Amino acid sequence: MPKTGNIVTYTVLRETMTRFEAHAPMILAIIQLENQVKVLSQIVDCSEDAIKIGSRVKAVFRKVASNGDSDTIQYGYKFAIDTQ
Amino acid sequence: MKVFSAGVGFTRVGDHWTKSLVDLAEEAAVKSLKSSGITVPDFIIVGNMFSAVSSRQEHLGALIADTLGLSGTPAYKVEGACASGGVALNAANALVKSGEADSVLVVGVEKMRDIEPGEVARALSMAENAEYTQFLGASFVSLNAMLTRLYLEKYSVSLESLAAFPVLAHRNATTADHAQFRKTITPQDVAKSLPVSDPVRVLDCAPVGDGAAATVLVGENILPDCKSPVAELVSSSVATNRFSFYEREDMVDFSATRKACQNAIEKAGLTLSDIDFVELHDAFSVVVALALESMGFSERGHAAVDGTSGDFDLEGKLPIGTFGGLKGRGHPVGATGVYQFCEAYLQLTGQAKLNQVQDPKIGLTHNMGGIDTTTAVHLLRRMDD
Repeated sequence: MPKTGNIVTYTVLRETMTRFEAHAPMILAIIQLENQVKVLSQIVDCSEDAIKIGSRVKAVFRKVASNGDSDTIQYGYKFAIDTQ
Repeated sequence: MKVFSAGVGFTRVGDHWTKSLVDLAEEAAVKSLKSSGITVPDFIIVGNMFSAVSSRQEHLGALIADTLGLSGTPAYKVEGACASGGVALNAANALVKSGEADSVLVVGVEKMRDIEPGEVARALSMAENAEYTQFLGASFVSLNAMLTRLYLEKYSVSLESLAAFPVLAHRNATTADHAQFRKTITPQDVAKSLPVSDPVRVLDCAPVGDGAAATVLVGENILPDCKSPVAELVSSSVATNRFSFYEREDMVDFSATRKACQNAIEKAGLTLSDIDFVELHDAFSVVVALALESMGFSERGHAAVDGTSGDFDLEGKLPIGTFGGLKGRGHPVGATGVYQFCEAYLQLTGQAKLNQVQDPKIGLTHNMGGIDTTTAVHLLRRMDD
């Protein structure tokens, strides 16, 4: 899958699910990749004000959450503003 | 076989700290059985979304049957997220219509207030894909927030104009005895309410509450046994969509809503203009607009304007959410579709009291699971005088 795309729509989630409280406020977006496929992702490494519809973003590899009492870390992709 | 609703029963929606999931289901079921005069139904179908999470309880069919003193009766639960009540009615309708059962008790029930808000959000997000949407922490509200932004952008609609829908819902709820919030709100209240997930504010969202609603569906062959006025269930239709809204080519088209509505109307031999009122699944302000537009009651991008001009008021061209809808009456998710059905029954049998729509003949109920992922539509008709 392409690693870059553009934000189609986004939100700043203030009331998160229990497992994601440490991430609040959490920016979530739907991104259209260069092959037209749409994906859902968290946007990281930027403030809310830096996001707008059409912003160009690139995939980054991050911790998504930790799980249960054992605190197993779950990893996945997120997206960050592509400054290039 | 023609199918009728022979009676309804429901609890007030809200905080039922002293009643369990089963207590609520029992209260609604007993009221509907007593009202209908059908004391021993042939079948029981339960609509519920997440009793396993909220009450650590499954196996609701047999449990509720036994609680009602009806053990031995075939009984099971059906689930379709927030459309669980609607799909339960769809299954019950098929049983009666086919002649498999003469009478079916349908109970929608949900207990939501016993768990923490973050856990409610997690439970509701089970309507979305666990390996993807839930995994990333995208709650149901956040998805609707992204949908709202898309809708506002695509049709150049103002966020302020969408407030017409929660304001209307609360106005209708003020006179509904079973509503969770019997108080009015203003567009300014909506604008100033807490942002939950931008641009969605807390007053754009249906509340969390406990409740149960029930009805008894019967075939025309046992109408002489019925004690209360009846309304005909003329058609029942369920449609599904691509699972998550961001997978859809047109993300602001509710195709399951459109298909279920068209199919129900065609099966009933009716047209859209025959519909006198709609019990609409107003889980979020934007959903009202998209549902009305996808069914064809408003032009694309115009529902909020139509709402602001009074078209959907109790006295308007097409009243919606006549007892306050999900926003005002409340949204105990798996029970909601059955509440809507009960409210349509009250309208069509002239029992809606202060919420009565003038002279309605046909009512439509629209119940949605996920973001239009599973949608159930029912059409009810008043009996000829």
